[in-house]
Amino acid sequence: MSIEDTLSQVPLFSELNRRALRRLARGTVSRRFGKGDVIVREGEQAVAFFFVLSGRVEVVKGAEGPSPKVLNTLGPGDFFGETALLDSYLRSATVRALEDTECLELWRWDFLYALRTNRHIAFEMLPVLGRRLRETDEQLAT
Amino acid sequence: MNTEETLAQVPLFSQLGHRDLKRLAKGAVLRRFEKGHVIVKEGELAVGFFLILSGRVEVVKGAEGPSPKVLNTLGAGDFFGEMALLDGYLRSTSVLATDDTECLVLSRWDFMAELRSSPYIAVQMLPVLSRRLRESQAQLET
Repeated sequence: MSIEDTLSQVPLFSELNRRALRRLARGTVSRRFGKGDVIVREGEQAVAFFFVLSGRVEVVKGAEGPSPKVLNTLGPGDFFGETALLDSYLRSATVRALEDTECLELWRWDFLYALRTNRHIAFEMLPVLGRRLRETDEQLAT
Repeated sequence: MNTEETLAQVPLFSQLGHRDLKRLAKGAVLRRFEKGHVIVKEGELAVGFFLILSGRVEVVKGAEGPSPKVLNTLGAGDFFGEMALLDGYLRSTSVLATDDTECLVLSRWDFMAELRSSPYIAVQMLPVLSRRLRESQAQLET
């Protein structure tokens, strides 16, 4: 599967055309993690988006504390950190490789650079974000 | 307060500079609504953003039903429907003019046309939406 095909599965990029996906793909890097490696750490600045290509990772709250809690495990096709592409925040959990894992990584500045060079990307992402915000707010209201 | 200053209060436009706000204001049309007139109807497709310049309106749930409920009243400087600029949805409430009212109305297609000619407006809106999405999602989790 090409990187563009992989990215097209991410809801945030669902409205992007082939050319825009190719532009984003150019900004990604492939990263390998060994079993036990920390991919992102709770409390640190979120600067990148990760798409799991192979392997398995766990999402842990309080990983360094007395009672760590596994919130989730992610595998191929799962991803996390899309909002790090647009806005900085502190990671709310640690993500750690449970086995040899390969991820596609996209850093915020590479993403922002892609936005500046392809005028359609931002334009196509607005309705997706708007819709998700509205749906989340509707869920909150009920 | 002039139109650009009022528009700057809209969260979606909070990152826009003076020139971009002026541009958006230019795409809007002035609409007058007589006392008693329905400005938007609950259940209909939302197509635009309304900025109240003068007058008074009521935000009503179940306006056509047995027990309509007034949720809010808005006046000069207030606005509603900014999410309709990004994506269509069905209005969750009716808005009725309780006085002769003047509004600036920006439709989604005029807004999108402005964005196509100034894509940087879209780029500036993305972080605002992303942050709000993250905050809403965080609220949902608690």
